[in-house]
Amino acid sequence: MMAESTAPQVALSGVSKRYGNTTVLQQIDLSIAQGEFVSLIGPSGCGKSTLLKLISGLTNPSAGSILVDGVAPIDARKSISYIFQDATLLPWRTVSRNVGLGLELEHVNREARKQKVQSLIELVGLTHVAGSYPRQLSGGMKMRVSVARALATTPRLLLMDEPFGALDEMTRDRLNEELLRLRAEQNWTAVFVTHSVAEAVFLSTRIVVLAPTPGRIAQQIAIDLPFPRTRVTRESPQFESYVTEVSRALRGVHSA
Amino acid sequence: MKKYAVTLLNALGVFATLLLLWEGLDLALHLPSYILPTPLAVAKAVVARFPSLVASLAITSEEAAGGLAASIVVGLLIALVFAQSRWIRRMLYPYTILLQTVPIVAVAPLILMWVGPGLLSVTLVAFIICLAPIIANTTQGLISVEPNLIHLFLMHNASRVQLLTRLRLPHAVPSLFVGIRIAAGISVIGAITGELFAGSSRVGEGGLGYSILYASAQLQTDYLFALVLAATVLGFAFFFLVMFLEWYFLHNWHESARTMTDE
Repeated sequence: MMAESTAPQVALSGVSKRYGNTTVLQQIDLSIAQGEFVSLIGPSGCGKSTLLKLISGLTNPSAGSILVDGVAPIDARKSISYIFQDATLLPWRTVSRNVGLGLELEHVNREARKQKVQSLIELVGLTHVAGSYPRQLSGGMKMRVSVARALATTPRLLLMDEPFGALDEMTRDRLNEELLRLRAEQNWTAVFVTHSVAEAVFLSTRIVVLAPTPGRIAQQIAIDLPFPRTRVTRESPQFESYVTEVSRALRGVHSA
Repeated sequence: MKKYAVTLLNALGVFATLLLLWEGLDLALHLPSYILPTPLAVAKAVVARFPSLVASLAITSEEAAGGLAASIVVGLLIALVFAQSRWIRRMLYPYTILLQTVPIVAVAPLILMWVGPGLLSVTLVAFIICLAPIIANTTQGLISVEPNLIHLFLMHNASRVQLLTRLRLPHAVPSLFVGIRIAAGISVIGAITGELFAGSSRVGEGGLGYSILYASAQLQTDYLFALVLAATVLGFAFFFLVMFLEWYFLHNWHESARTMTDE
């Protein structure tokens, strides 16, 4: 069933995506190994979100091939979770029932669901609002529910499309730290789309810089900062120099 | 709560003033009772003929409620079909508009001719007038689901049935209620219109529409006023019943219902 551990968990080769006459992505070759945290960064219109949609099988490539765990993305969905730009919670469900949605859709029985949901709500620190409805929560709390829901189905691959983009910086930093803590415990692979250089450097083991029209990979930068990463990491000189390096790469892409 | 009480008192004050003016005008101009009965005369008519007023009210409520309930069930089913594809909507939506624009007073005699006078035909008139707003609003609710929510469901390999029962239907409930609120008000109008053509829908007593015709023919203007009052009360009752149900089902999560409690 499982692909060999040496094979990449996500493998894109020669992937292009066209909508009508516009080429959104051209000739993307990218492989992501088990346990990596890869951020996609680049100016608007470089196809970052489209790349995530391709890896999830929500859209199909116009050319090239995509494998997740050695099979087509649509067949690997059981091991993939997707976190969207906005929290995409169902407003008529309480926090608990939102977190349990994925398990419910995948026909996990009530008892197992309850336990899993409870432990995840605890993990993201929302036990006190488990019975509340989304409209009663702050933006940061909603995103936490969304993260808990994504993790409830024990994914091996987590796709995140600018999940913290709408939050204030303090909340975003805190959620970034929590995300890394969860990753250390659960060891999923992540593909993360963001506009923020600092966020990308803080989270990632590798950053993929994309260039626009048509979207293509301009540069890849490995981030060798030690884990666990904390507030101290953000104040370190290596962090600063990575931020500078990525910003420079981005500027190159913009002016091109 | 205090704000509500003040609003209520203001409304009642305006109402009392209007009644007094009306009574005064009547007395000053010596209008005959069959032209404009005084509020007091109307009140007397209500008391004197209370049993038949209530009987008429009951018949009309039954017809209006029956038509409304049927329109909710049928409207929801049609909306479910409409939600399946844009093609179906393009093909069939014009007929919904037709349903809304055709004058009910012109259709009512046809229905009576086809179905025959009685409770059923009047209920059918109420049903027809209620159907369009239910279909239009529910369809809108079913198809206006955010694309990312659908993506979320797809990522969990959700079936078509799961998409419907756990996403589209609950998402459409607030819109369905908008439709029901509109339909509830016009269901009473539909029933009364039907009765105007149907005559007595039951042997012996008739609904409000029939009684209105009868009272006006007999120049019992005070009772006519009482009947109009009863029809208005019925419309209000329907409206508030729907408002209550809407609040009951939606106040936990939906903005439209929340404002009723928070403001």
